[in-house]
Amino acid sequence: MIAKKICLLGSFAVGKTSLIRRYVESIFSEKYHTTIGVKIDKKIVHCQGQDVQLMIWDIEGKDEFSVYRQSYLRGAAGYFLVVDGTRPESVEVAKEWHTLVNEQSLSLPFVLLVNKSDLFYEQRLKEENLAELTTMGWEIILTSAKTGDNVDKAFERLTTRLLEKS
Amino acid sequence: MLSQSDTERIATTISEAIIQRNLSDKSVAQALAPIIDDAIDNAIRHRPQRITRVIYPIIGPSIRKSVARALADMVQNLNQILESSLSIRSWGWRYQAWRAGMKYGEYVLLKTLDFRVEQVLLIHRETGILLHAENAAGFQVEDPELVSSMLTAVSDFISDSFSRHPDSSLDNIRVGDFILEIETGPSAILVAAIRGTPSKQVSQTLKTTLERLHLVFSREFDRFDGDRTIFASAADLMRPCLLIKHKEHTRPGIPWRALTMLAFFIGYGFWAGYLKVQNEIMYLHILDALQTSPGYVVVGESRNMPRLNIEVLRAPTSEPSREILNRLDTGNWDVAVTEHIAPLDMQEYLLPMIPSMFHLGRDTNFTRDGQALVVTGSLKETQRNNLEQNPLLKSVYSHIDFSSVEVYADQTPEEQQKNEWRQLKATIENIRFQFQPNTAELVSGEEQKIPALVANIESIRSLAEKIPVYHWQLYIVGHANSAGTDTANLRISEERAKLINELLITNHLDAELLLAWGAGNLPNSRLPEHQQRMVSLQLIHSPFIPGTEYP
Repeated sequence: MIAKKICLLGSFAVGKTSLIRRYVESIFSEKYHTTIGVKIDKKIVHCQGQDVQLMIWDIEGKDEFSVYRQSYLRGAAGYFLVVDGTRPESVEVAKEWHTLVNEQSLSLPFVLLVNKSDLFYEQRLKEENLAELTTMGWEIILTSAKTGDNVDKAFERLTTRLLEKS
Repeated sequence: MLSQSDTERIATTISEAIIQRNLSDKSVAQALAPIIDDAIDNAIRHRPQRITRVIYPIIGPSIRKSVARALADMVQNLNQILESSLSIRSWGWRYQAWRAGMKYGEYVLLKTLDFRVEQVLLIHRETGILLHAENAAGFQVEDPELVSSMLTAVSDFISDSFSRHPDSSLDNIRVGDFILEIETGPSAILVAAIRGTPSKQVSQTLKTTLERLHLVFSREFDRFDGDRTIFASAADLMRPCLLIKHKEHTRPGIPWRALTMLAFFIGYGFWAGYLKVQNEIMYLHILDALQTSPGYVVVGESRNMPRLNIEVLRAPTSEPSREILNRLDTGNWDVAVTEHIAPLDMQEYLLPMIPSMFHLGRDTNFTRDGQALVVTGSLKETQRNNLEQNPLLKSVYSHIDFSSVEVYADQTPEEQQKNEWRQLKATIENIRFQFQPNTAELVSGEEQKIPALVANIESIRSLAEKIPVYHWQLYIVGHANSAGTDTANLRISEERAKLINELLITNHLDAELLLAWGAGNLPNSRLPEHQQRMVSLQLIHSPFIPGTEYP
């Protein structure tokens, strides 16, 4: 069975850990626990007629990039950039993450997840912001770890792109 | 097909073109990487000597690193042995080693070599993905994929945080008696999960195995894309890492060394005891020899092996102590005798000193009757006992004659009589006679106190003649409570006192020794009302010795 390492990157409290928990364990909790360092989970996903074991690295969400341990990204086959739809500033953090990955000569497939889509009336991301990212070639999926909307789809989509690349 | 001019044109600009492209993205490096890999691979296969020359500067540091690792292992073993030497567990091991008939060092070594490699993981260094796992029989597998990834993360974290050298990496993790021994290669990591304390053999085997794995799978490591199928064939290479070291059961032999030590200690104990007894016997023998020598009195001694100090009092005509000692076998004792020469016959010499020696007064006199000491006068019983049991007097005089001395108790007869007086006085004065309200009639049963009172007054009279007490009298005081007028109270208190007075006279007491009067009501009395209807007694007398205070 093929195994792939993927990372979830983004600002703090955007819902990276919740997305993984929803995807791996089908559980969501309102309680917020900040991730220290890195947390690793795994899940086998069936994609393009084969099983793929995803090793999912949930990397601590910090906004000070200088203290990131870039070695956590080493060997990743792809990654999610996760932003919070109610916090526009989290998009800027995601952009910086993307730049950081590219600086390491890692031209990897990635998907931008705009999380917390269940908070419909609190969404503050403007259409033009997302449109700008789309024009940059970013693939965007709106997700909700709370309701589970598009979570499985997001992981399957990234897996598909990983397999396409390899 | 390029023309000659095109080739020349590209040759002049290719370097600048590569540099420029490299500034915009990394595609040139990505494109060249597989070509360079193949080129190096080809060079190693066909021209190894040239490669050896090229990598020679790298080999030196690698060897140094390997030697440093070996030294670290040795220090770790030494640490374990030292800890084992100083811990509580070590005493258990010493006992077990003694039981097993082994040297302690051998036993510790045996204990430290007891281990089992329960799982070996081959991890892709770059991705942290588990490539292959080999388990010992019966080992409970704990999700090796997650363990591998997390181990890689931890290792990266440790290296990033604490190491300044890019090649340094985490070597092992210890949790209780469980150790993860980690060997890091250029492309892969080999991890052994070990229960117990591993020997150097484990890390050596891991090193060798990892080198072989790199040799066999170097291309697969470099081009790893997540497909782990090929690494199933690594099982044969990894299985030798599942080392196990069993305890060797040895038959307990006869612990000659311990038995010899034990015999030595027991022998030493007996010998020390024998010497102590011999010294005690010799000490008593020396003292006895001096004490029984004519004209000698031992007055003091102290000892601190081998020194024995003896202080003697001896007659001038008696034999000097050194001559007595010369004839004696003093054993291990170094005897020093301090002599006090008595100027007279010892019996005569001591005679005037005895009163001060025993703190005796002038009432006690001492004389000689031949060899006996005669005591006359009077002395207390305890003083008599002291004289009788004193070793010095016993050694000087044939016996002590107490036949002419009056021995009394520790109190003198006078003191005894005075104490008896005080007790009787207190007994009499404690007697109260209670009366019925508004009458001079005794409460029922109070008259029964009369016989005892009469007997005590008779005793007092007898004692007064012996002590002597020349002037004494019993005051009989009548009292009334606050009910009624003062006149009436005075009258009824007088009647009450006279009643007791008459009762005592009726019982043959001399009327001159009694004095009765009424005190009426005492306004500040704190006694309850019914108790104030009474007659009290007071024994009044002159001092025992004229001119002194009243007792």
